[in-house]
Amino acid sequence: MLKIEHLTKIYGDKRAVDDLSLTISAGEIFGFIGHNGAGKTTTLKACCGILRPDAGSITINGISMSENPIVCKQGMAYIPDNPDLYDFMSGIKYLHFVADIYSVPADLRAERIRRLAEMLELTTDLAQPISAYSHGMKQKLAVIAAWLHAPRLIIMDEPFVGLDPRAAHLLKTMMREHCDAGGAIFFSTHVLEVAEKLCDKVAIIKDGKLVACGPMEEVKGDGSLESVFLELADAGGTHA
Amino acid sequence: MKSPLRALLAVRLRALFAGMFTVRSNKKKNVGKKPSVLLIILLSVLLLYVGVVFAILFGSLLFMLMLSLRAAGQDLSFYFAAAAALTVLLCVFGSVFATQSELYNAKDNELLLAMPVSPSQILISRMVMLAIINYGLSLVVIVPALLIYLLSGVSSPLGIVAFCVFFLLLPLMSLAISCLLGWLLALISSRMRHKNIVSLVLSVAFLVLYIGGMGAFSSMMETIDPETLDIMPIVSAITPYLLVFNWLGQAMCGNILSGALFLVFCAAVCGLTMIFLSRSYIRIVTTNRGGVRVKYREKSVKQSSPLWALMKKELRHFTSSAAYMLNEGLGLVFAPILAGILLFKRDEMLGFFELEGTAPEELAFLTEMLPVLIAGMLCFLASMVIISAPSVSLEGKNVWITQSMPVPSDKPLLAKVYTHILIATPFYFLASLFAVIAIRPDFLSGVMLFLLPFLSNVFCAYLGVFFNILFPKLDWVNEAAAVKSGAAVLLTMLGMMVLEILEIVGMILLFLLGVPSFLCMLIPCAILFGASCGLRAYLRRGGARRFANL
Repeated sequence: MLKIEHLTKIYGDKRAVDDLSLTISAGEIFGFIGHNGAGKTTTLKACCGILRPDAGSITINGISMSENPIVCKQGMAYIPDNPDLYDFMSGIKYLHFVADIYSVPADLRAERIRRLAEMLELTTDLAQPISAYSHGMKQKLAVIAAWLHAPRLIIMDEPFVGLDPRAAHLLKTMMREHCDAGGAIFFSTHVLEVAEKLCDKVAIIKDGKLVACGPMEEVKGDGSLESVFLELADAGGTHA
Repeated sequence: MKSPLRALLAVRLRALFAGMFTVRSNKKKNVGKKPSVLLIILLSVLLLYVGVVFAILFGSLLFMLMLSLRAAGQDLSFYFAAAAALTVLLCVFGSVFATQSELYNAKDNELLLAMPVSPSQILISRMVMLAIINYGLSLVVIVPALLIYLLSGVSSPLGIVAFCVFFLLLPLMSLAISCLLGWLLALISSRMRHKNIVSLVLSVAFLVLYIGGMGAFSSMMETIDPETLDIMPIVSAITPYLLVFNWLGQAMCGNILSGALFLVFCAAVCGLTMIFLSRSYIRIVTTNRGGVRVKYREKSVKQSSPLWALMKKELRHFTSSAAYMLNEGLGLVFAPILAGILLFKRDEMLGFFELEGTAPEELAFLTEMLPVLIAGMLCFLASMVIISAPSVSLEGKNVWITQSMPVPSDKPLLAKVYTHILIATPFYFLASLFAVIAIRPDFLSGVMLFLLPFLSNVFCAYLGVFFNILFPKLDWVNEAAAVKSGAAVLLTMLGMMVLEILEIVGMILLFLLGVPSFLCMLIPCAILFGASCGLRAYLRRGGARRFANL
């Protein structure tokens, strides 16, 4: 579903992402882990068309992001690490804005908003201005907005930050259900326990370079994901 | 190593400078990009130009006052008191909203309060920045007031020293007043559901008071008989309203007791404000009064097109921010008001041309030129409506939303242009209608009276987005920085002003060369249309590329 080939992104003298290649297939929850500044967010932003790669290509369902970004974006959703949403809108106005952009029919969006907001316990707060939302509430709203147009691919940057345990559990369930229904999820996280339990595949990035990639069981082997990550972070080299 | 206060001051000053000159986006590659020397020089010249225009405006008023007082054989106490009142009024009006947002609504308040710095240090660093704004504003009155005093022939070295001492205290006094008014504004709006509307109403009320006061003062000055220059009735009428400024005026004329009273008053106002703020600053900035909770009720909605959704977003942003509406949309109300005055004072206005000795052919000539002049006036007012100018910067940290959405990169830019046009057109249509009813031009000139202001607005909308995509500033801490002091705002406003002046001069020249009035207006229409098409073409390609890379 998502194919990253030889992705390179350079900021000044620094190669934030260096010749990174990954493939995320339908039905997969793909975890992306790495230390701070490793290049995770840059990769995710490039995948959803916010950043242009300096080299390499990104294709979604065989369509090139650089050549046809609108079609690519139509079938995907992105949740950033810090959900900066429009403070001047209410939650419901923001959801309608997103639904309009993705051309979600009125009856379908009403049903989805109702279901998702109830699931994430945000219904009563939808009329409140976003400026009055807590970080967790903004995160929940961003999750609803991402699921609203039923995208096939969802890209998330640290999606569990700020969520209460119940909402985090719900999000994990939603992620699993989405992938079981044929969708795919590519997300970054620092919570290795979550990644270990949730992900079908995992990639570890260090200093912009891919150092490990593959099915979770293969990458972690007999140890834990944490031990593999720490070992790679200290030593460098590649794995799996 | 810097002391905490010095570090805070450095941050505030950098923010003040960055708000004006630095061009920044969210992308790492642009972080720290320094402005070009040319841009700094250009913006400094533009700022200086605005300052000089205002200084001439206030200076001419004060010069007339000084001449009248001298002719009446009066001392200059009223002159000094009036100049002081003007200074404080201008500073308070110019800085009260900056004070409110900088002092009470700054997004980094909690961040700083969590650091090992005392609240008074945070407060002082913010006050210093506001004091700089106040001193900057005050210069446009103080400098001409001092020059006129020097020219009056009654100045003395001691008087000049006293002038400097007293007048340099005024920005501090206005700072204290705007701190208290800003606190009141923040308090009232925090208890209201529609904070933006409350802020807007208060802002407009304040502006009306200011303009009304200035207008009344100017009207009074105009009633002075040029022969006798008898100003005493005006002095008697205004003096009671000048309150403490009378002490300053009397002090400048040698009354030591009044001087002492004024100094004590200044010290008391500033001191009490500082004590009040330093004691309650933490409470003020951390109290969450909670707004009125609105319960969500599901309503049926219609699906909108992506472009209309983007325009609704822009419209909502504009109407939700008092600072945005006030700074960028104030000209909207001026156009219909001025055209309305033209309508209701039609006979007096037209009578202006029927001066004694005006030959009928000259009168016909002047009457035929009237549509050109009125269209020029309406176009000039268009330069005061610059809604689109900060619209790219206002995306701020939210720019990822439109960038990650399945819309072509030119659509968000065009939505900003169309929203500007959508908001401004009804106001200018109304103004044009009033003008047409008032001056009853021939059919073609009447059509041009609608078309020319409309096209000026269209061009202004494109120009605003054009400048803002060239000079975006997305890393603001306070929205007011993007709305008030961005390079795009300044360049659009002054660019439009220069363009409109050229347009008016050009139209008058064409008319004097015998070109029919409708044709005089048609030519700038064609130029504005062509220029708008050019800007549109740029925004759809180069502008869209820039937006995608922000």
